[in-house]
Amino acid sequence: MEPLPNTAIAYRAMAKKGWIDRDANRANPAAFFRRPPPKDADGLSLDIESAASCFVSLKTCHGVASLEVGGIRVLGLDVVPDDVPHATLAGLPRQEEDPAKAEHLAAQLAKLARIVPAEQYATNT
Amino acid sequence: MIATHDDRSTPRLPKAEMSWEPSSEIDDPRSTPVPYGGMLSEAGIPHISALLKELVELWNGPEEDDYGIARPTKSAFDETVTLLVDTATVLGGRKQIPRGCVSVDSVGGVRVEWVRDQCNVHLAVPASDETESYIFHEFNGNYATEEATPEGLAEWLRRVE
Repeated sequence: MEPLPNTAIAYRAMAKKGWIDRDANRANPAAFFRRPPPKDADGLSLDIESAASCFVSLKTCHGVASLEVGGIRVLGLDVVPDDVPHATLAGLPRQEEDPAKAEHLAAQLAKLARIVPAEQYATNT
Repeated sequence: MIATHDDRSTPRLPKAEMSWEPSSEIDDPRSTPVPYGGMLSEAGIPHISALLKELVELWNGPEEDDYGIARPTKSAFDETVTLLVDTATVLGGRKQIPRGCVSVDSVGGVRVEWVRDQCNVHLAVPASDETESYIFHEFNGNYATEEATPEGLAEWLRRVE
């Protein structure tokens, strides 16, 4: 499959309320950690179609964050489409492998992310 | 005066029956494991009360979500409350615990994150007490992790607005 252009946007579903800082309107680093094995074997789940597609991928989604693929690549990571609209954010170490790097990258991804206004994707908000 | 026994009086119990001890196990797994965690969350102390309130809400919330476990383990809950309260004590009157966000990881560990434009301080408390809690700190591009202690956490939080 063709690599995504740097200008492509990927979306991360906010599975937990604590992943969003409502006061600052930003994603928290907690949203960008791989779960222990066997989960997240290749990386974190992203959606490369739309915020709406991302939102309905979970039974309970507390919000959607968007990230530019180019910004992700600057961090030394990548976004690899697999079963479109699903893609994987690849290259993140697990916490148990390298806690400092995992925390640093999670913080950088959180800085890069933008919370998508709910009215742009949720039909019943 | 000759002592008399009044049938209306409370019967005297043998000494053995007068002793009482609280049950060692609280059967209800939903009860707040650390009594003062709940009290402090309602005490209105800026920021630490809000953090503890979020933690108690997670404790009383759903067990699972799409991501995995949604409720902190008892071990993680207790450790987080202890660390935050002891850190507030170390900080004393000169500085309060700054505003932060609480979440549970996919296996019941607790994260508290203080995120600002120029710095990050994260407290990671694992689900099991067999693994150590740690603090991550990043200021002006320099980052590292260290063992979580109230003194260490207070030291980094002093630098967070």
